[in-house]
Amino acid sequence: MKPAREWKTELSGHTLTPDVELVSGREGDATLRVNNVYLHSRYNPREEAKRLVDSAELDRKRPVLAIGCGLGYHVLELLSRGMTVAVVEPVPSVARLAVEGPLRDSDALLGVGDVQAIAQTPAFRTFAERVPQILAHPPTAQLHPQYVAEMEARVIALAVTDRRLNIAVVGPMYGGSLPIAQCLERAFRSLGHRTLYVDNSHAYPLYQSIEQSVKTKTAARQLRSILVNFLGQWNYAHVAEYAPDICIALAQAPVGLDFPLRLAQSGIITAFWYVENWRHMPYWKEVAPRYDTFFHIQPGDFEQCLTECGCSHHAFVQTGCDPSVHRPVELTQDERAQLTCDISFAGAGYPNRNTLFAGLTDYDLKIFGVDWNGREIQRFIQHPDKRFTPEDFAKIVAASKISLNLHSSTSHPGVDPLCDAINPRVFEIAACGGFQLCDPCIGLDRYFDFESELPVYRNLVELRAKIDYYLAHPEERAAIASRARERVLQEHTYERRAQQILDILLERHGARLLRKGVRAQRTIGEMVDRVGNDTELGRFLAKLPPDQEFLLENIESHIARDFAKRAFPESMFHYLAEMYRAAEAMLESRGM
Amino acid sequence: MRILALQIARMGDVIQTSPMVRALRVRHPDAHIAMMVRPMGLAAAQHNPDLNEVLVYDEDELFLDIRVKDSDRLLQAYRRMEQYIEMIRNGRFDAVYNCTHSLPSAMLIKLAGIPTVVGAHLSDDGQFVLRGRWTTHFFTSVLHREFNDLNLCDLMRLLVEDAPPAQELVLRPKDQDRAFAEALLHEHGVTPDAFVACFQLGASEENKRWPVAQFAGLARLLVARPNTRIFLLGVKDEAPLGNAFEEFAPGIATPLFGKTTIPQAAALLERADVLVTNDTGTMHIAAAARCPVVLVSVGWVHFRETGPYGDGHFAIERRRTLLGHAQTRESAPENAESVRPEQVLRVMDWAMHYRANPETPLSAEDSLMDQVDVHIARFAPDTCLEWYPALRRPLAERDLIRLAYRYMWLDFLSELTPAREQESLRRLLLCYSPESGGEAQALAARQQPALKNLAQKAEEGIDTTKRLLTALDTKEVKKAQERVERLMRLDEETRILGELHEICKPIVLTARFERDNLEGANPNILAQTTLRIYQDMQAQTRLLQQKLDTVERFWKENRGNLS
Repeated sequence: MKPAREWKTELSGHTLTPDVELVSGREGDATLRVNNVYLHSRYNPREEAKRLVDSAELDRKRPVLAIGCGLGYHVLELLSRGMTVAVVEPVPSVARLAVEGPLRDSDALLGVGDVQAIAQTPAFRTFAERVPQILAHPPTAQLHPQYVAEMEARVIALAVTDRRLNIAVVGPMYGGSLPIAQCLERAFRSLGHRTLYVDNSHAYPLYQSIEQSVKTKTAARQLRSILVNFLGQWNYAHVAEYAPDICIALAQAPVGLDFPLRLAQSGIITAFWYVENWRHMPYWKEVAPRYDTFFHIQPGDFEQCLTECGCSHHAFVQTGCDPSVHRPVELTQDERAQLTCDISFAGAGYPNRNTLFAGLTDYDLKIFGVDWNGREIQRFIQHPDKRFTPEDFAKIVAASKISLNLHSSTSHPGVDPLCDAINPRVFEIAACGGFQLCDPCIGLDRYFDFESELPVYRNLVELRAKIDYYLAHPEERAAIASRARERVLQEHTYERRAQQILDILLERHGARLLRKGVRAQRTIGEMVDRVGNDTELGRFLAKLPPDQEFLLENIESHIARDFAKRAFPESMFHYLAEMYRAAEAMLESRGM
Repeated sequence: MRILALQIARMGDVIQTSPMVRALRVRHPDAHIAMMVRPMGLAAAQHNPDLNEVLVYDEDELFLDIRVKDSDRLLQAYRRMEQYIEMIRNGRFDAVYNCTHSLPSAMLIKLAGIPTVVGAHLSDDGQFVLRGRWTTHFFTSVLHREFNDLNLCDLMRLLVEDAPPAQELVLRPKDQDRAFAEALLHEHGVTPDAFVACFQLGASEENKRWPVAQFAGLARLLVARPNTRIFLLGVKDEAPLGNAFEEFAPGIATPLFGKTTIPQAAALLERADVLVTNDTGTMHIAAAARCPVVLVSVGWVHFRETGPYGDGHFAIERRRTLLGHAQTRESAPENAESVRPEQVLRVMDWAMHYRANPETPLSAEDSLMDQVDVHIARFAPDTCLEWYPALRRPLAERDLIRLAYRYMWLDFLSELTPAREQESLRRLLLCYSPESGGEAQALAARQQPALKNLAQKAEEGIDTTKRLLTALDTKEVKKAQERVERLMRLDEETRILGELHEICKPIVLTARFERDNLEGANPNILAQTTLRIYQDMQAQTRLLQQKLDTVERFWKENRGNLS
């Protein structure tokens, strides 16, 4: 890839193919006909180019990659507007006529030939990393649609894939998806992205108190609905102000149905991660079609249903574990006294669990979580109305010889042979270093080896037999737990899930990021490298915390108060901050 | 000599700065004079022949680069700032006139390191300071607008030491702009003898806008006259106003939103007979083109301060009925509709009459105009723009105080000869009804006690500051502290005096502003500056007392004879 004018010599040796024909225009400017498709207007190609560029609504400050050169009228139009332009053309004959014609003196970068060859050039890589906008020349797109799609995908891969993005995660008020939301946000952050976690859990005490204070069910329901609507507006305002590249809402997040559409108007990619059993919670029907991508945890029948309800972009992403919270922990003496047991279960009291665990009352059993109604097991419930945190969970696992897992079911007592919604507990117990006995949820064998990493049971008899066996074989327990932990740390962390989500979103919707542009989020340390630590600016920045983001508000907080002691860069940043504040105040006073 | 005029506000402000530039050119005919403007002011600056050079400073780009919170763009903004600073430094300017009077503009100048500054600046310890005799008045005039009789163009012009009169705005279209205007008029079938009226429907704020329906009403009245053409001027974004206009008056006016550049608009206005407008940049273009302007002054518009600068422009506003008292807290927005189309049409006729017969008096009894006030702009013998009542009204207390302040500031900060003052007074008072009297006669009796009180405060301030200086010299720390505390209490008493008696407010605000922005940390220098501030306050108060007496006496002695 090189400036157009430098292609003349190379392309002059190329023989024009018969399908490419230069045609004189009616008013002087020529056009090209390729396989009976005119690449430009025969009457006024320059006027046509103006209209094309106008209609593209490009941001003048950002570079543009034109796919399809034609004779270059649209390239010249872009250049005349002061834009930085590169162009790629699949057909060498077309490129030759362009550089012998309107582009003969142009400095716009030109790449000719197949996508692979162009994409590997350093010039293309450098240009793509500037996150250019794409302008596909319509006749070229008509003649070479595959070329356009591939080129776009290459640009996305280079421009966006390794870039630090802004990601908002909207969590629920309470419930099982709350810790998942928090883990996901942490995972994006540890992948190097800038994140906003919209925390709705603060509203849960208010939500609860409505139920407790208003006895009439209808009134309570209405009030809760009002609260949820209010939270929906607040969540929108919060996310809109942050202006992320991607916004992911978790199951049960209090957002309105119009939430993704409103965000999409600002070019934000929206996703919903439905970490629930689709058969239990049918609200997915309304929600799924509205998001750019609807993530779920149950492949198979559910995907068919999603397509049928109008959700064209869905993807399966399993839950996982967060090693920063799901890890082996040391217990204090008090904790040991409180929590130690042979068998534990931590989770909500679904009916099948109440039923199955009623068959374990002769063991040293402790049960944690809410909504446990089974009469036989009441004496084993540790804190009936208390929800446990991920930190509590790690302690429960640490204190137990065996951590039980049983996937929830409302249709089967005990083990549900048709269960296909793998719960995050599987991965969490393993990450905490616990020994786990689990029911064989459909698909679970993809993640664990049932012999060496995760022993399973299909009924109460089998469960009891395995409990007895493994209580008597502590070394085997420890070995299995260790192998399971190794497995989840390698393959089932939320970091991996977060990356999987991002890969899917960027592959499907990365073009939108190109249109919108991606904010460069560099640290101060990175900027020191960029400007050079032997420059005045570099020397000043080198005194600041290197991990802080290179943003004006961060730099301003480090500017010396004593005016006389300021270095030139400090005064400059102070000027920029004052100028910005004055302009913002003026806009605000005009209601803008 | 190399001089920089810094005007990085809006397009209209660039045009309003042209009298200052003219004054600089007359004072320094061989100087290299440059102006730094924003892109929106570029065309106006480029068409000012008094300038040798125009520098462009794109603050909007900087703002956007910062707003997006993108690290690369922040670096870009920084680099661009470096280039702007270098551009100014490379200009090797000996002096800069900062007409933007904002903190960022002061910081910009400081960064550029120009040795002499008139206007807003930063001291060596980073304090916002004002340099130049007229600068503080220019800066604080917005705080007491009701008593400000001087146009912004004159205030800026007076920043130049011994500023010669300018008496016009400067924006010179080129031949190609004039050719464009001619072609445009030809395209729309405008004959050479047609009456061409231009309307500017928009304004920067809603409350400054005369309603579109009223403009449409005026248009309907106008087109009833033979061979009248109406053009709607403005930028592309104002086209919706044109659509609204079309609903009220279909097919009457030709919209030209976004169809002309600024010099082309100036060329068009050179050919037009009148511009009817809100307080906008187009108004200043018309004034520069010497097209008669009829400003419909509604809302928070202060036409004396920001109205069209030139001879023969008119301003019409709702009549203020609060006579006899200086305080006015008008609620404005709902009054926009009270100026009626037929009243504006009458003023347009007066403007045409004045253009043809400038010496023929205008003021008349006219029952159509009972509820409005109309003023005509002319240059007074004191060389500054003055707004003369076109409709005879009784002289109000506010008018007297405003006049007294006008002459006080001109005398105190520049030099105003008694002869010029008298002649200025005579010409203005000619326009008021000789029947008014009660308010004027009692003025001194009502207002002098407050001024006397203010003068006493100033005297006490002088005395206390001198004693402070003595205490500093003799290193009597406790005494010095006591005197500083007394000065702080005195400041507060003076501030309250200004709140209680509006006539004192401008002087109090000016002194207070200076006290709040003392430069440096050296106690002796601070005390010396404080002494100067109180001395100025005393001098201004005494001078204002004299001017009040002069105005009142002149009116009493001459009102029957003014003709």
